[in-house]
Amino acid sequence: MIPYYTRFFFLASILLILQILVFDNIHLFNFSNPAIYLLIFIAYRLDSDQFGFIAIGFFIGLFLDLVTQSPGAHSVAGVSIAFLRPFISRFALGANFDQPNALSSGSLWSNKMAYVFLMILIHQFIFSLMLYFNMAHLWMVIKQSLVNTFFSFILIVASLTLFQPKK
Amino acid sequence: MQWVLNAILRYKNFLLFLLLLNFGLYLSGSQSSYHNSQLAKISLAISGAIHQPFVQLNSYFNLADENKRLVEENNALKNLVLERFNQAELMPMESQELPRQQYWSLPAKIIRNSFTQSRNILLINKGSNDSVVREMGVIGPKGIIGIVNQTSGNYASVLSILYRDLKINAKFKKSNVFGSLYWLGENPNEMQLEDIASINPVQIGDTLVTGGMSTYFPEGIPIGTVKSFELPENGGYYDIRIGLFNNMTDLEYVYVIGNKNREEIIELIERKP
Repeated sequence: MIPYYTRFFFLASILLILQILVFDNIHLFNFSNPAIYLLIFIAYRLDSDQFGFIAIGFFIGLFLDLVTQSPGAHSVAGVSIAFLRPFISRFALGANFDQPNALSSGSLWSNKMAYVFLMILIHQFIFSLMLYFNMAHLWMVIKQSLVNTFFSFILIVASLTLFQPKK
Repeated sequence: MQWVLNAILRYKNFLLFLLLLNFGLYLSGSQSSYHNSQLAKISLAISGAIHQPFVQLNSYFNLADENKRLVEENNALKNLVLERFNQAELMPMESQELPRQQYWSLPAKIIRNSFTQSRNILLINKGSNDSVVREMGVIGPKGIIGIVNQTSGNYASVLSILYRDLKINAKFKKSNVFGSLYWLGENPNEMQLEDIASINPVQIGDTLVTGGMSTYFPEGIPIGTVKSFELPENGGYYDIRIGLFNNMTDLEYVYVIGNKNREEIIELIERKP
């Protein structure tokens, strides 16, 4: 059996490569990129140590910032979503908020979808806000966050359904 | 003392979050100096190395389209040469000497295009080893693309004209009226032109070219045409939307433009009276 953190590292690497080489080149409506790599933040064990997770969130963001030349936006969004995740999971998953496998079993489908949706929406809103950094473009920030969230949500739910562990 | 340690341990997650958030905000807030820093050079090297192999693979699939584009560009250049040739025939022999060439160009391939963000940066496969330096202009087959921002040995990052804080000096081809061109951050094929006073006649379809008032671009490089315009009720200056000639979402090959007199011009501007 491969240890959890080794599997996580490989999965995260594959998702980041997919994001950089494939999904960053999909420009929906000329302003939107679906964010498949958010699966890393969503699927990471919910009972893990948050201190380490915040650091992981930051370094994933920093790596994407370096590769995509978007100074700071990915780092801020990554570290914020890692910090906010316990609050989001508590709000969306209810009693199962700290179950390690809450996404594959034990929670209602609607709760899981609410958790995934909120994680993507909040991340994308912070990310777009950082990119524009100007309240005069608030409408563009909202539009970009919603379109990105919609397509990322479809992709991530499809991936979660496809790769769900067999019972 | 013990209570301080206890408080740090108790709120360690929040403190780490604040620390890393501040670092992220610092990177984001200091856009201009950030790009001058070493971090930008590391970023360029990583990004270039990751994208380069996949771009080479991808370019095979676009060969047919790229060929068509090159034939069109070649045809336009041929027409230009013929036009010059006809003009030269009419001139007396002694005036046919070519003027000293001020600008030179270097072909480059885009290895990462970007147009969905508010500050878009492109990567090209030519760097300081190919004599590319900061603040050189970059043009595409149909018009301007951006300005070189940072270079490493084999790569350079280019501030796209789709970069919210960038303003480009432009003029109308027919009237030589100058204005400032900038991107509003929405449509990648459309830009805004300001500082055109209402006394100047403007029509839909008027062609806009570079003004030549900076060292980045030679004068007369095509930019786009007037798509729509409005004159605000209080008068003064037009609100003009420009449709770009270049399709910024579909770029593959570009030319870096070097100005042989750049240092001399900059030195003259910076020289104190």
